[in-house]
This record gives sequence, C-alpha cells and structure tokens, in this order.
Amino acid sequence: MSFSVMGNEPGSKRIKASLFVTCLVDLFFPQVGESVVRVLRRLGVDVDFPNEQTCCGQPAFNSGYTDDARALAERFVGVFSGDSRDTYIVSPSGSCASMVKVFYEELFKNDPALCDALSKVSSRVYEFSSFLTDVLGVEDVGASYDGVVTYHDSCHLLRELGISEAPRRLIKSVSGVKFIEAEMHDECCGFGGTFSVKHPEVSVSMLDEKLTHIGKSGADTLVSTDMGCLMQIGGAVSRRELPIRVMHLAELLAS
Amino acid sequence: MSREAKDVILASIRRGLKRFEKGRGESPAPPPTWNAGSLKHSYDEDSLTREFVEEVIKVKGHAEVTDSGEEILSFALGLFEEYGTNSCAMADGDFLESLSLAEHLESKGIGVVRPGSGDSVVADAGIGITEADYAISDSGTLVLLTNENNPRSFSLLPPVHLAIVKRSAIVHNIYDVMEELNSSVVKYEHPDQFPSCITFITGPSRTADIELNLTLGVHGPKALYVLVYGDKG
Amino acid sequence: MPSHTFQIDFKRSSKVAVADKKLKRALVSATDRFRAQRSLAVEGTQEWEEIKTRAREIKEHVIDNLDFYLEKLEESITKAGGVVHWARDGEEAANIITAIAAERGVKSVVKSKSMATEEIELNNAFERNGIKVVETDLGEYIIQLAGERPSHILAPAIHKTRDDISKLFSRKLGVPYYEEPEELTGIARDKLREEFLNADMGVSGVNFAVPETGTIVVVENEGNACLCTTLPRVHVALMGMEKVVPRFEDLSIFLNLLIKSATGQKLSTYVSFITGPKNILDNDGPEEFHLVILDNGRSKILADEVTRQSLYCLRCGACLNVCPVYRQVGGHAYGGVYSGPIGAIIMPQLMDLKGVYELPYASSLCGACKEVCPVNIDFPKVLLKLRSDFVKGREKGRRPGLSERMAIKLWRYAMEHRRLYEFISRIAYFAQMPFVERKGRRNGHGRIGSLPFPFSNWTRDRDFPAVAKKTFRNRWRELENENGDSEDKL
Ligand code: SF4
Repeated sequence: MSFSVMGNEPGSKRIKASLFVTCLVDLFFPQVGESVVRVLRRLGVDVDFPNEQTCCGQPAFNSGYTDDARALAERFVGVFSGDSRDTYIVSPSGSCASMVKVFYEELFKNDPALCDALSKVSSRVYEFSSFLTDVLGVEDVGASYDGVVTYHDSCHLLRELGISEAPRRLIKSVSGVKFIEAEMHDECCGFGGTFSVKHPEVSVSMLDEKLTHIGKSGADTLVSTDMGCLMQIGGAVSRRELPIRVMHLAELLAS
Repeated sequence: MSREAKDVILASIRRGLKRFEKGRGESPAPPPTWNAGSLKHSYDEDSLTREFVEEVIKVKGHAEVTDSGEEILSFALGLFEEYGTNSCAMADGDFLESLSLAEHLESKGIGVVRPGSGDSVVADAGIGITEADYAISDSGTLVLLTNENNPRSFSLLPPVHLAIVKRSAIVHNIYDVMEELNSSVVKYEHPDQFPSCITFITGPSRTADIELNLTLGVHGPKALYVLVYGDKG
Repeated sequence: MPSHTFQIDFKRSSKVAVADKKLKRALVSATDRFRAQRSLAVEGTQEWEEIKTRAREIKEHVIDNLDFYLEKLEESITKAGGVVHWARDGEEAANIITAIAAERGVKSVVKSKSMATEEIELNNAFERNGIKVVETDLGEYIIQLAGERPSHILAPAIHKTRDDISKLFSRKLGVPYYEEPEELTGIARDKLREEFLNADMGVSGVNFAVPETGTIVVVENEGNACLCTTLPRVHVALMGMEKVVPRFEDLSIFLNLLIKSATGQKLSTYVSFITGPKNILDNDGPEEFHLVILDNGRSKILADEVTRQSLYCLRCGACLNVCPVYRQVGGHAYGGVYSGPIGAIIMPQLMDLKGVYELPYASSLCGACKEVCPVNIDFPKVLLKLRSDFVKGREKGRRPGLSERMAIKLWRYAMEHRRLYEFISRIAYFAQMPFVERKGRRNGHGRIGSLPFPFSNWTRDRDFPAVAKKTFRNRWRELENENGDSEDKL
C-alpha cells in the first residue's frame, strides 16, 4: 500500500514495536489498542504485545503510594526488558509514557542498578503520536474521516513530554477532516486520575468548562491521546447526550 | 530572647542543609549576576526620550518634552489652573533651583511648601513637584532618590505629581538603571550616604481591587505629569 | 491562645465554592485577565527564559547558604541604623512586633499588603493588645471591613462584586450607597488618608531583601506601602526568611520576573528600595526601622531536598491564575493564607493542622503551574513528594484512611499477578452487568450510569465505561495471528 512507508524495500530492517497498551485500554477500551495495532501495521511496523504487562503504577504513585508504585514500576521494567534493544515501546497514552519516562526516575533514585535498567527501557518508550511523527516520520497515515475535529491537549503529553504538534499534524493530514482549535485547548479536563473521584465536584466543574469550549468551537468530534481524559470527557458527553463524538487519536487514524 | 531565636534558626538551617560547622563560613560565591549585554544597544537620547514619553503615556501619565525653562513654568501654571489649586510642595533639586521655579510660582501667588514641612502640610498641597534622578524609557519609570532636598512624601501625598526629568537622565531599561545605581550609591562607605529610600514610580497610583476596574489615584497621586527637559537633538 | 485560626477542609469548602456561580464568574474573569496580561508581558521579554534560569540558580544558591546571607543581612541593616529581630514561629513574630509597638506607646498601626503578616495573623495579635490596626491596600481594607481573609495573593477581594463592596462601605463606614469603583475608591482614599497621617507605626511585608546593602524592596501599585513606610515614626517589616537575593544588582531580574508574572506590568507603579530608617538629614521617613525575620517552618522545608524548592517562590501569583482548580474554587477553599498551587505545597509544610496534608491532593497534576512559575518550581514533583510523605504517615501520624490503604494494597497485588488481574477483570465484567446500560453507545459498548460508593463519586455526573467483554489482551491472541504482513486484512 502506498502509505506504508517503512520496511517496504526488500532487505531493509522492519521496525519493531512492543505495545504498552495501558490498563485502561486493556480493560475498558480494547478498540483503541486494536486501532493502534492497525495503524502501526499499516505503516509496516512489526507489533508485539508483551502479555505480562499490567499497570505502570501511576494511580498508586499519584495518590502518594510510592512503595506500591515502585513495585509495579520494577515489574514494568522487568516485563519490557525482555524485548530486543531495537524494539520501540509504544503507548497510546502520554500520561503512562510520562510515568515511565519522567517519574520512574524519582522512584528508583536510590538504586543504581534499577536506574540503569530503567534508562534502557525508558529511552525506547514513545507515545503513539510522537512515535508516528518522530520515529516513522509520517504525518499522513492514509486515513479518512468526515468531520470537524478539535484536539484536547492531554496535560502529561503536553507538559511532561512537551508534545503538542505531533497529534495536530496527524489529525490535519487525515483526508476529509476540518481541524479547528477550541479555546483553552490546553486546559486540564479535570480528570487527574484519583483526583476525579477525590474531588468530584471540582473535577466536574473543570469538565464543564472544557465541554463549553468544545461546544463553542463548532467541532463534531473531539480527539485526544489519553484514555483518562477521554473517559472523563466522554463520560459527560454520554451522560448529557451531547452531539460530539469522542475518540482516541488512534481510532481516528485507523478510520 | 532574640539572641536565642537567632541561634536556633541558624542552627536549624544548617541542620537542614546538612552542614554542621559552627559559625559563619567563608563568603560563598553566588552565580554571576545576569549580564544584560545582549539587550544593550547604543540608544541616542532622542530615541530614549521618544520611547520614554510613549511609555509614560501608556501607563496613564502625561509627558512632554521641552527645551525651555519658560515652558516649564507656563506648563506648571497651566496645571495649577486646571486643578484649581494654588499650592504646591516642591523639592530642592539643583535643576529646579536653576530655573528659580519656586520664586516664579510664588510671584504668581502660589504657595510653595519646601522640604522640612510636616506631612499634613505636604498632604494639603495641590501639586507635588520633584526632579527625577533617573528615568527608564522602556517602562516609563521615574527613579527618585531620597535625601534632605528630596523628601519621599512630595511625590506621594499631593493629588497631582509633576516630575521634571533631564534628557540625560534617561536610560533604556531596568538593567541599565540598576547598573547605574550599583556603581553610584552602593559603593558609598558611610551609611548615611546611601539613600534611605529609592522610589521607582511608573504612572499614577492605581488599583484594580474592585472587580478589576482600573482606578487611578487610590493613595498616591491621581495624575502624573512628566516634563523631559534638555536641548533637543 | 491558639496560634492560628485557619480551618482547612478542602473537600467540603471546594464543594461549596464550586456551587457559587457568582464566585465562579469573578474567578474566571480575574484569572483570564491575569493570564492574558502575563502572557503578553512575557512574550515581549526576549530574555525571559534566560533570566528565569539565572533567577533559579541564584535562589538555589541563596537557600543553600541561607545562614550566611541572613547574618550578612542583619549586619548590613544594623549598619544602616535598623534593628533585626528573629522569630522562630508566628507567635514569636507577633509578640516581637506588638512589643515594639507597646514599648513605643503606639496607638494605631497602618499596614500594607503582606502575606507573611497574614500567615502569622498579626492583626489578631494587635487587636488582642488593644492596638488599632488598619489595612491600607484597598483590597485588604475591604477584606478587613468584611472580616474575611484574602482570596488571591494579588487581588485579595476578587471574590467580591462592587455591589458587595458598596453595601459593605455603607454599613461599616456610614456612607451612602455608591456603586462606581471611582467613588468607592475615593471613599477609601479619604478614610485611609486620615489613618496614614495619624498612625504611629507602619507595617509592611518584604518582596526582596539584599544582604549586600541591607535594602528591602516593596512592590505595589497603590502607593499605600510607600505611605506606610514613610509617614509613621516606626516602620516594621516582616519577612519570610527565604526572601533574600544576594546582590543589589540581582534585583533587576527578580523585579522583572516578579512583576511581569504577577500583573504583566513592565514595572509596578511603585517599587521602594528601603535601607534602614531615615538618614539624619532626611526631612521625612521613619525614625526607626525594624526587620523581623520569620522562620515558622521554613527551616523544615529547607531540610527536604525535593520540597526545598518551595522556598524559591516569589509570591507572584501566576500559578494561581493558571491553575484550573483555583479557577473553580478560589482562594478561600484552601482554608489558609496561601492558596492555589503554591498554597497546596507550602501550607502542609508550614502548618501542622487538620486537613492541611490533603491540600497536595487538590490538584489534577496538570502542570500548568510549573510551566508559568518564574523560578521553575517543579510542582508535580513536589506535590507527589508531599502526597507520599502523607501516605507514609510522616506527618505526625496523620495519614489516609485504612480503607484507602487497603484498597491500594489489593489493587497492587492484583496488578503484580497478571493471571489474577485477568481473573478479576472477568469477575468485574459479570459483576457490572446489573449496572450496564446498553442504549446509545457505539461499538456495542455498555455505559454505566450509576455505581455504589465510592464509585458514585464518578457516576454522579459522568457515565463510566463498562469493562470490555473481550479485553485487549484477549483480542491480541487473534490479532497476533493476523500478522503484520497481511496488512490488507486489517
Ligand atoms: S510558586 Fe512560582 S508561580 Fe507560584 S507564586 Fe511562587 S513564584 Fe509565582
């Protein structure tokens, strides 16, 4: 296929990626994981799924349970250390990717051996959108979608990993998409992991504001890159039966 | 009591920093001060003056440029008329002195309060007249150094402030003015030579405490006039 | 006498705040305005990132050598004719200040805005000692008349409308009901002018203190701080001990960072550099100058290598203005003197109070605060460290409830055992069935509209996704076989 840019030429080495699918996608949104696989394969990537993976430990870490988080972090590093060195680790979540790339260090700082193992793993971790644009060098994945799309910047992708352009470029390259920015597109949606249930009123008040801006933008589809945000936004869209489709970037790109 | 508190605090700082030596260590070397070199351009007085005037207006002051003492006098007289007052508090600056502004105003029947008068007398004056030691063009700021001739309250208590600035006193930005101050006042040996107060004034007094509405003249002057004096280019 | 009257219960008070529509409107317009002004100012400052980095380095250096700099500051101020006092805690600071007043027969005090004086609740101490104290910053004056606490570092009365203020003034000051901000401001000016001229003592805060010269810097817009530090015969400044910048020349970058981050002005209307009391020949200015250096928990903050950076704060308020949580709830919900992200990190370190250790949870960890902070405080890192300390029970035995701790342990156990995790996911799939509504969902997915506590915290306003019939890992077993070469199948 014309848009499979990688690994088509005979003899060239195919790019390998292990999917770090995240527990939310595994349990609640398997179609997002499938979309990731579909898009990656379409681009000629060999995809694998290390079956032992569970959760990266972020919920515990964010709630202050550092020791429990450390146990899961060690487990994560162990699971993905099994890959060959040239295998990327791709995750459809900026938040979980930043957990590994940014916050694990804090957990391991007193253990040089673990730090060492971590650095070998974390340097291979990429969030899905940046993997497509930065590693594969692709913007147009050959998808088409008929709709007016706006993008919500997930906080961790934006501020911990500094990624804001990759998802936008990918969305804009989907044929049939009209892209518009909503006001305050980089304002938190109010999810924040356990924050959303510890302080539900505040969380929902933040969400109200987000929905107002999405509504005003005139978009019929909201795309983001993190199932936490999408669960939050989608949960209210579904409750209030708002005329907006909420989807993960991978789903858009697989369409 | 105080002694003890000091020792306790210093000890707990050292404990926190995991430094256990008693007493004061060597003078530590701080990272270098930020070098504003990259922002330095050779500004001529004209462009500094122009920028300064623009910025004063942006912060809701009034500013004009003049090269004649008479104009200053007539401008001042105009202000007394506009604000319906016939009293002022005037600092003793060399330049104001050289214009004999006080004498001229008095001859027009205007009461001139001089340094050394009580605060309530100054507060009753209609206009405060001062001479700025420096001005910053980039932000439209006046810099006033307190001394016996330049009391702090003259720029503060009267409802209108008229400041005279010499063109040569204008510098470009805060980095420049701090450098100037650093090389002039900081090096003084005798503590009484160091001004007890250096005031930076940028526009008239203001507040936005009521529904974020900008209101001028809350405690200090409601109006600020600046006359830039010097030979035009 | 209890040393504070703060009551911290974020859960309860945030709920109340969120329901207050009037407050919400005020917060949105204030934070929008501050955000816009700040960004404009920062965009116009080409050296911004450079001076931020340098300021951070300087702050690190200062805190690493704080003992040296404080002693040096004392030496310089003494040389300039001032007196330095040291206070271990708020009570000691309040005692020092009220004693200075009492020894000099001070009857009335004028105060300019200072977060440190709020922190030690100085006004209460004056009143207990029968000394009249008047806040002179307009916002603080309004707050004092109303008997409240400030709700924002820069704009203490942003939660009040002009109607509230008009009513307050006519009730407390016996003036007619005026609604125009100009008129209200005029009333305050006249009332406070009298207070200034009659006061025996002025109290101010300190934005920066320079050990090199013994200078303290006060930044403001109204001119009230200039008056407080000029007219009364005694000036007392209260300073949190972290406010030091080493050299006079460093003030340029710190003023630039503070003021642009705070209000977006290039410089605030007034900046005063005050060095000791009036000089012998000066015709005005205070006869005495006192600086009170306040520890009040700061040396404890400094002892932790991660949270130490909380002491670099310049109190610019930028983190409040960008915080989406602050924007919903305002300053009062935090219950203490400091609010917003900076409040969430320093309150639990400064004060040992019920509820204070939960403040670090009043954040979605979005990181907007970290992005704007002029001294690059890494908020998420500090918040997480404080949460972790709380969970470990480091804070005098206060820690989360047993049920939460148990739940996390169980969750961890499941996540550590993949087969168990899969098994539980199947149980959950069946257990959820009575709750799942199938109408109106794409992809054949169910949604859950209501769940029992604690999940009801989610489902009250949001649907929850149902656990998938087939998890991703189950689907993978099929996907794997449709291997990568047969792209066309997908
Ligand atoms: S923490 Fe940073 S952004 Fe917040 S008030 Fe302090 S200096 Fe400003």
